[in-house]
Amino acid sequence: MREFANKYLPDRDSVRKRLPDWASDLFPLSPKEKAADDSRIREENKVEEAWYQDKKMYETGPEIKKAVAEGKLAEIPRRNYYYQEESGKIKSAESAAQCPPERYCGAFVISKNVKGDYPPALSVEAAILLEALTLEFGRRLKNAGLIFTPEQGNLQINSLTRSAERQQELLEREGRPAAEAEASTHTKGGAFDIAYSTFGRPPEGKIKKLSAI
Amino acid sequence: MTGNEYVMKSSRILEEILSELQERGGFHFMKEKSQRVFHVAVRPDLTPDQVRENFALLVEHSLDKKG
Repeated sequence: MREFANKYLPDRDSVRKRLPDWASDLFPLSPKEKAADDSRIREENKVEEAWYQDKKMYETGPEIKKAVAEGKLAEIPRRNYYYQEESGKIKSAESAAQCPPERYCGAFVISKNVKGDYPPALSVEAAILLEALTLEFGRRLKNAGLIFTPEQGNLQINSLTRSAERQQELLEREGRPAAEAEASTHTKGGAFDIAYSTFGRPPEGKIKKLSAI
Repeated sequence: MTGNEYVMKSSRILEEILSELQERGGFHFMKEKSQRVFHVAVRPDLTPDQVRENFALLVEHSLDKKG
């Protein structure tokens, strides 16, 4: 079978070269491409390393839980909708239907793969950024004619604050992420990852407000 | 519009916002192709009000361009 494939099927690189940009972005990386991508990320990450060099990592899940309880980190709801009032204030809503139709509405959902012994959490500054980004994304989608519906236009958050233990586990088990725990802003509460290959419908679930903000 | 076109357009819009945000300073983003994610970080010395303000300026600028 492999011989047949090698002889008659086009090789991976020639297929990839013929793809449009967007499809090329979704094409799985070869080990060599992944190594190059990881190396680029480590280089680009130096900006964040410099910003966070004096910040302490969250070593364990209980440390993250404690930081949430003390208000040092904001707990992030698994799903949330937002709209902006005329005054400019950003408000939470329990569903897209509750966003006033004349206002822009945005939503995010945390991937079901984000699990562990601590809640989804971010620094207060990063949580505010996520909220504002979600709303702005909804506004631009609507302006672009990609009208927000409950089925479309949701940002999917794949990663938030991660304990150093969890970071090490991922590195050993999955060879990701690219950065070591000390160099990662995820272990310090200041970063989140948004999927760019899916903008689907959030799962049903209880809505909570970002009370720490 | 196909699902792939929708994803492509949405992804470009998201990247556009993140690029504009990074240009304003205080934020950093990276495209992590192997994970198919945009990694987004905020500078730790920004206050919550500064984050809100930077974002409001970005939105204002975008509305000005449009209109």
